This record gives sequence, structure tokens and C-alpha cells, in this order.
Amino acid sequence: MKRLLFAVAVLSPVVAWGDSSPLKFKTYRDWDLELPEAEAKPLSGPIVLEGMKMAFNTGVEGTALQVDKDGDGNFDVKVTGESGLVTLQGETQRYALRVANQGTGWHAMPGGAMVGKVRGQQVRLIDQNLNGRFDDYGVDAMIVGRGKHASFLSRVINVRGDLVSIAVAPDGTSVTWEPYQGERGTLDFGTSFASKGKLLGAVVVESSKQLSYTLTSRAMTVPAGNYQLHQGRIGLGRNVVSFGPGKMGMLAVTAGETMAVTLGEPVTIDFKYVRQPGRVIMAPQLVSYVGKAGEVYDQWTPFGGSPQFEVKDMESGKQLAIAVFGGC
Amino acid sequence: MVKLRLILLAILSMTGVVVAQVQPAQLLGPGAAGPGAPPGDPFAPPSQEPTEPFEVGGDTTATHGRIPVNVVGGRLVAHCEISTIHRRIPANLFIDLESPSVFQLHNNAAGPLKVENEAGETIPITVHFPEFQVVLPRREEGPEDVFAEFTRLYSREIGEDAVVGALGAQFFKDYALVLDLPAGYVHVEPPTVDESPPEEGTLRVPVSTTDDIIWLPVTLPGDEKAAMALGTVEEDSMVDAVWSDELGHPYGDLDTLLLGDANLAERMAFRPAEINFVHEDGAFGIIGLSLLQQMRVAIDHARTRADIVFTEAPAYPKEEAAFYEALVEDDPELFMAFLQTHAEARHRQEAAERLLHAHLDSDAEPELMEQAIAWLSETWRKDIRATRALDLMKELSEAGYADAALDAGKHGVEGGREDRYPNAVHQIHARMGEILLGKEDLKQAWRHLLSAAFGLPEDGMINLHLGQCYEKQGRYQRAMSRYVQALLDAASGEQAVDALARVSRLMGEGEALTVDRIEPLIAGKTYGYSAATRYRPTEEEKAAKRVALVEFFTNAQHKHPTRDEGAIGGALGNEGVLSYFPRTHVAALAYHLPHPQLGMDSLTNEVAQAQADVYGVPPAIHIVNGVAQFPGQGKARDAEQIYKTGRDVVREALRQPATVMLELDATLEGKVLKGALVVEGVDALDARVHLVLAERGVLYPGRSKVIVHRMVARAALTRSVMGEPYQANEEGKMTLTFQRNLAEIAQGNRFYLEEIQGEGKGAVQPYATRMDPKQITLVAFVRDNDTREVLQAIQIDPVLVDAKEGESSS
Repeated sequence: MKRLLFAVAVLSPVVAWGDSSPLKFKTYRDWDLELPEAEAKPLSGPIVLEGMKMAFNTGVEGTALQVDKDGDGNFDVKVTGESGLVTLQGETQRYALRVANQGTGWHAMPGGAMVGKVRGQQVRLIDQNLNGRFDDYGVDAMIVGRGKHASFLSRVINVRGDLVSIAVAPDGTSVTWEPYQGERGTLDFGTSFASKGKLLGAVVVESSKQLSYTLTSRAMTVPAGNYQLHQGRIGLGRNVVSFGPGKMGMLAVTAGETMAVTLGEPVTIDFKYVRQPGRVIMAPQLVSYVGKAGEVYDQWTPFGGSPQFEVKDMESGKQLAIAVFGGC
Repeated sequence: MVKLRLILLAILSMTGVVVAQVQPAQLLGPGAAGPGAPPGDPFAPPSQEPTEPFEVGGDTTATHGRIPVNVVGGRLVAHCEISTIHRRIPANLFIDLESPSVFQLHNNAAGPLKVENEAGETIPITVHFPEFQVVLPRREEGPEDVFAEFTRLYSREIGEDAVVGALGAQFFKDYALVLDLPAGYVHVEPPTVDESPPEEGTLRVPVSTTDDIIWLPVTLPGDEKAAMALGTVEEDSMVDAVWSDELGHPYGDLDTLLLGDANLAERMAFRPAEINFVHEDGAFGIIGLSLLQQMRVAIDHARTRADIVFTEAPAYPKEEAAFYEALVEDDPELFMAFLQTHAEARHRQEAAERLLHAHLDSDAEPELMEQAIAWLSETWRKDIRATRALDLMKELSEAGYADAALDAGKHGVEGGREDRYPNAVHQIHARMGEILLGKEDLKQAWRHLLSAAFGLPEDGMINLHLGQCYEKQGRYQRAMSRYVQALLDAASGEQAVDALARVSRLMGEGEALTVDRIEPLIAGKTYGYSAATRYRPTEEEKAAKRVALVEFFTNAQHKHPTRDEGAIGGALGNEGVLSYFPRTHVAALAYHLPHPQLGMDSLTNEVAQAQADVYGVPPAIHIVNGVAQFPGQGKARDAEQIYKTGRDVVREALRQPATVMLELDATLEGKVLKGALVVEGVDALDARVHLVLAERGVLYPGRSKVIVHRMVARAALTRSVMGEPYQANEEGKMTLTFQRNLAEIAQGNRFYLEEIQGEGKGAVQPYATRMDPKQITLVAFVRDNDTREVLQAIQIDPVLVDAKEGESSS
């Protein structure tokens, strides 16, 4: 049933569905959304927005980025400094890009989202691959509700506990939905979550790549299927750490059952080092932190203290050196 | 460099760790009271005395006392001095009770203090407050961009000393702590046991901690129990948006929020937000600075109780509630109503910003934009008004609202004289001039650009735009002068090259723009270095018959962020060497290499990368005859030292007798370069013959501040970029003939750059691949592949043949 539904959705995303609502583009000038794939795309040549059926020239003038904001072929705006936010004007809608140059050329990232409501719940769709289409399921991103941690664009979403099948117009200007009819189970990352931090969001993806959800401390009803953790974030105040699947296996959610996962402690640290005559060399990138479910933690932000390494003589137990990672 | 962070411990509470264990830094204090300390009982009623000025570092033995604090820009800031055995610096620190850290210190401060060495060893760091000092075993790294931006905006309020770090919750964990913000102090006191009952008017509540973050118990509507953290990093008090919504108060507009018997909801509106904490009773929110400024909170050292005295009568801030409603609804009408109604509200700036953003998103009428900009500009402090306006101009320009950007600029110019950053107003004029130039309003554009150039005479883009203004007015001589100045800046150099060529034609000067023509114009405006003496070979050197090859590996963007240091030092040293030795004794090549941490150098090409691969060198070194080296980078003032080092290395090379003989002839007819290279006397078993096309001078302003690059390798004239294997004929010679078209070579270099650009390594500047026939030169050399030694070299300029008349000139 689920596969059939997908086929229908692909062939005719906005036909024969129940309710529909419009979506409108919103620019996020103070970007604070977390995307599952936050990779910046190099800007070389025109920005082609397939979904808007338009292309916008870009060029570099000195160190500044020039952009044709209305698609007429002429440069209209110039971005100086190291970063900026550019708004492109299509024939019917806007489109925003965050741009940055960290010394290796200008790169672009999403700067806005299509925003609307499904069953009264806010949904935001982000064109994560910057092709101007908002219906790339499993590739684009979405947020259901008030959070800021996006999952991949999913064909079935959880709206206040209910599952709803959705279809998004290619240009993102509307979303159509109807109740999800398939089997469902529960994914629970929160009940036995062992950490002093808060699970801000853990993105899971179903094996077909067509379903994706952001789990928090509450268990969530999801369509039955095999899910894989994509990435997650834990926060403690302004401190945040990301985690990836590491050695975590597939999470099988069966109909009517709850799949509970225990993330967090105890955590083990694995680290590699290089021995040279009279020296032991350790590097932060060679250290990994592995949680109970096999998840691996990295990208600690903003910052913190280094682990302290003790180097001991194996025979005598004598401490030879104590070291920490210094700053840069 | 990736850093490891202490929050791992705080967040994950690790167990079962292997050899390496995080050791949270331990406070060496507090101990018993030292002489001269501590003022008063921490649980005594609040002092109403005004804050006294402090001299930092009065008592060097006390381990506790008062920390004078100020609320600045929504942060709690303490002034102090920080020292190690190496140095002592004045500084400001955030007090950050929400952070599970001890002591964060910016790298910019950690460096001079030498808190760590390369072996990862640490030394103690002392933080000196007016009444006491604390020794900390090590530091943690913190959000450096936050520290820097805060300092930029509030440097005057914090006494012009930078915010270099923060004291986190773990710093205070072993102290009795009094937050007496109404009096301007945070008290830290030694552990004491005080069983006395609270005084009248004091609210005593139990407290709890998670990771040393302090939580107060609260009662929500419906008698639900929860906890709120004490926070010092936001003025707003915040509540969990989802939880508040579920309670029927989506705007944080709670009727009751009881702390003991005190209803906090009577004195505070709460901002709905994401609360990134957990607490066993439920982390409902964070008590922010605006509420803490109404109370004195004394926490005992065991973290079991808080004694609270409210210093102000409850007064519900309706305007804040109105703002939070607008915020949740994200409704421009509500923001507008808020701005019209609440002239003195604390959130006016944020409201005006959000209103403006909403207008930008809806492409609102210009009048609405103007109103929002006016409201916003009213909220800017006078001493930062121009700076803020400049930021807004950038945002509006990038959004495509040129008129709105001009409007913002006008507001900024009005505050220009009072702005703490004197260049801000010049930069505003520069932006306004650029916008007006685009609108062809030449008179107004000129007026603004001239004002900008008055304050920032060396800014490349200002000079470029001023040049364009003059050019459009037909004032070519003035335009030329401005373009020459623009040439010296990497940001405007490329356009300046084109503009100079264009104006040169407009002035009817006919002659193409060449390095030879530009060099006199920029002389004295750029760095240059020439040896004071000239080479005179010794008899030994004459007998050696050696021509040394100096290969310079560089990158035109290689520059220290703040100093004239990097490729410039190497390039000037290189100029010194080339001016000292005639090319009959020294052949030279410069290879420009890409580097992942530097901007794109569009003089990069295949032959440069291939030669760098031979040696495995970075873009910052000179190699002499393949086996010796001297520095390829340094400060501009290092030029003489680098030159002298290089000179000595080259002279040593010139003393090595050569057996290989090279003979090179070439002509350049139009774009066609052809000729022959004859090699003889090579004994090495695995020698390769290299023939490289180069330009003696290339105009390419990079960040390095090198404007004219010398002896830039452009292409290999051999079939392979790795040269040709030496194969002698019966006469013991190898003859290599060549014929290449310069246009094809330039095109090949463009394709190479585009490939690099396609890999996302930076935007290329194709103009850099153009070649000037008058600068063409050829360098041939023979390298022993086994030893990498260059056995002999030669450099010649091709004979230029007039393509039309068949005449030649050298």
C-alpha cells in the first residue's frame, strides 16, 4: 500500500488528494535552522533553479560576489565581505540564499523556506539541494512544528501524533495531504536517553529514503519500516554536540510496536596516536566518542576543554607526560 | 584545528573511558578568608550603597570577595586582569551561569599568555579581581566570534578592554554565591554553614543543580511543578515554547508562575523559546538578567537553598508581552502596533528589525520600508549608529533594495561623527556612492565617493568607483589616477587592470597597457626591493660556467590576516636576488600554487603544480638548483634578510662546476613562439630537459600585496610538463624544437583554472591568464631525476618579429 501510494504521489503529486494549503517563501535572515545535510554548494556559473524554471548569473568582481537577482542576465547585487544573504526574484516567488566565502570561493546554502500549515500545524520546506524544487523527497528538508531541527522531506509526516501523507508541489507553493493509511509503529529515543543534555533532534531516515523524521525526547509514531539514524544533536544551554550513526544498526519499526533506542552513556573514547622517537603525537581528529547504541559524537560547539592525556610507562606505571590539545 | 570540548563530560556524563580522561579544571580556591577580604555576610540583606570604583589587583592573597559586574548588551560582564608567569593583561569576562564550564579563554588572549605549549603542557592562569584572585589550572576554549562581536559593539561600555572569555557555572560551584545585580556585584564566599532563619522579607526556596547550573523550583498554572535555571546570558526570561503553548499560553503570557509564594508572572513577561536543558522536574525556563536585576539571590555553597530579596515592587511589563505575542505570530501588523505604542520598550530594536525583514519578504511599499528603517535607526546607540547603518546597508543592498539602502545610509551619515568607529561613515559614503553610480547619478555619487576617499584614501573599491565616476564624466586623467590606486588592492585590482586599459584607449594613447607602462605609475605606492650592489663573479665562479636556477613557489593570496607578512617577504627577497644577479648567471621561475587555506591564485597552472610535486614543497619557498633553499615568505621588512640569504645560497650554487651546456633560440611572431633548445654534456642517467614559458612581469594584485609578479611560469614547452628525457644523438647532443601559440597556452591555463573552480576551490580571475608578448621569456634547465639537482639552466627572451613586416626586435 505504501509503495503504491508513493507511485501515485510521484506521478501526480497534487491530484486526488484531500486537503491542500498554500505555502509562502520566508527568508530566514538570522538563520537558526539545523539541516540534515548542511553542505554548502560552490557557486560557479549560474544558479539554476529548476523548480522556478529560472537561472541567475553569478560572477566574481575582485573579491565580491555579483548576482543577477532577477534572472535578466545582468548583475544586480554585490556581496562583499565574507558572507551575505541574497534574495532572488523569480516570476512568482522569491528565493533566498546564504552565501559565504571562507577563502576558497563563494558557496551557497539555503536562506529560506516555504512556510505553510498542514492541519493547522506549521510546516517549513527547505530546498536543501538548491535546485529550486521543494519536492525532492529524501533530499530536501522539512520541519514540522515549532522546532528548528529539520528532517529530510518526508512523504508522511507526524502532525500532533497523527500520520499524514503529503504531496508537495514542485515549486513548493502548495502542499496537499490526506490521512496516512499504512501500518505504523513507534520510535522512541527519549525514554531511556542517558545524558545530561537535551535531545534537540535526531533525524532518522527510512530505507526507501522517502520517509524521515526528527525525534526529540518524546516517542513518535512513524510508518512501519526500517529506519537508520542519520544524525542528531544534543544540547546543554548553548553547548551542542552532534552525533552520527557510527555503528548503530537498522531500527526496525514494526506495526503496533515500539522501537526504543538507548542513546548516550556510557560513552567510550577511542583515540589513535602516532609514536615517534621521544614523542607521542595525538590529534583531536583522531579521537572519537562512541555512545551506548554505537552512535559517534563530534562537532562540539561552541567549545570547551580538551581531554587530558596521560602517558605512562606500561611496566612501572610511571607518568611520563600529561598533555591537552592547545588552541590554534 | 578541531578542538575537543569539555561539554562532552557535562552532556554525556561519561563512564568507562579508556586511557585519556577529561579532567575538569579545578579551582585552586576558595579557601579560608584571606586578609582584607570578604565584605559582609552573603546572606545579609542587600546593600543599598552605590557601587564603588575598584582598582584591580589590590589584595594578592584573598581568594574570595566581590566581583563588580555590569549588564552590558544583554550580558553580565566583569572586568579583571588575567595573568600567567609570562604576562598580565586587562580584560573583561562574561559571567555565564548557564554554561557547564569553568573558564573559557579566547585564543587571542591564550596566545600571549602562553597558557599551553606545543607539547600540550599547561601552566596556571590567575584571574585577578579587585578584592581577590583565583588560580586556574587551565582554560577551555569559548565562542570566540561571540566575544569578538561583543567587544566590537560595546568596547566603550566595557572600558576598551576586550571580552576574552567567560566564567561558567563550574567556576562558582564551590562558593557560596550572591547575585546582587541591583548593587552591581556578584559575591563569591567561602563555604560556610548558616542555619539562621531567613530575615523578614526574604524568600527562602530550595535549589537544585545540574552540571553546576542552578535551578529554582517553580509552580506552573494547574499546580504543576517545574524548575527554572538562573541565567546570565540573556536579558529576557524565557519559558519553553512548546510547554507554554500546551499550558494555553503560546505567547508566554502566564497568569501565575510561582517561586515560593512570589508570583514571577506579576513582574515579568516570558519569552517563548527553545530551552536546551533538562531537569528532573522539567526544565521550564530560564530566569534572565532583567528579572535578576530586580532581586538579590544568595545561594549557599552546598547549593541547597536560595535566599531571595526582591528589590523592586512588581510591575508587569505589558510592552514585553505585546512584543512576545508579535514574535510568536510573526505578524508585521503586530510589530508595527508595538513600535507605534511602546516608544521606550526594550525590544524596539528587535521589533523594528523583524518588521523590516517582514517588509523585505513581502516587497512592501517604500514608505513602509522607510518607516521601519527610521524606527530601527532610532534604536541604535549614537556611538554605533553609523556602524549599524553600514551593516543594514549591506543587508538591504544584497536583498536588492538600493533605495532602502540609501535611506539607511542617510541615517548612518547623521551619526557618523559620533560613531566609535570613525571609518564607518566613510564606508557608508562609499556604499552610497556606489549605489548612486549604478543609478547614473554621477554628481551625487562623486560627492559621496570623494567623502569616502577622503577618509579611506587607499581603499581599492572606493578608488575604482571614483575612477568610474570620472570616466563617465569624461575626466580620463583623473580616472587614470584613481584606477592606478585601485590597482594596488586585491579587491579592485582585476577591474582596475581592465579600466586602465580602457581609459588608456579612450585617451588615444594606443599602446596596450603593459607592465612596463604601469610600473612607473605605481612606483612608491607598493613594496619594492632592489639589491644595492651588483654581482661580480669570482674566478672560481667564472670557471664553473654555471647558471643557477632559482625556483620560487608562492601564492599571490598568501598574507597574514593583519600584517604585511606572507608571500610579500618572499617576493621582495626574490626581487633582490634577481636584481643582484644578471640572468647570464641566474635563471628564475616563479610557480604559483593553489592552497586549501588561501584564496584562489589565478596564476596557478599545470606546470607550476607539476614542479611543486617534484619537490613536494608548499607555496612559500625558494629552491636553488633543486637542492638548496631559502625562505619564500616573510614580513615585508624581512626582504633584505631573505635576499641576502638567497644571494649566499645562489653564490654557493654558482661555484659548482657545470658540464652541461645549453643553447636556446626563440622567436615570437605574433602569437606564435618557436625555436630550438640544444643540450649537451649530460652525464646523469636519468636526466630530464625542461623548457618553460614564463613572463618577466605579470600584473596581478593579490592579497599578498605583490602587484607585479616576476618570472611567472606559464607553461611547459615540452611535450610533458615533467620535461623530456635526455637522449643524446650521435654528436652527443639533444635538440628540442618547439612551436606553440600563446593564445592556445592562455586558453589551456584558463581551462585548468576552470577545472579547479569546478572543484569548488575558489573563483578564478581569467584575466590573469592573458599574456603580454613583450614580457615573454623562456627558461630551460636540465634536472637529474635521481637527485633532483638542476645541472644547468638558461634564460632568454625570444626575438620579437613583427608579424606584418617580418622585422625583428629584441
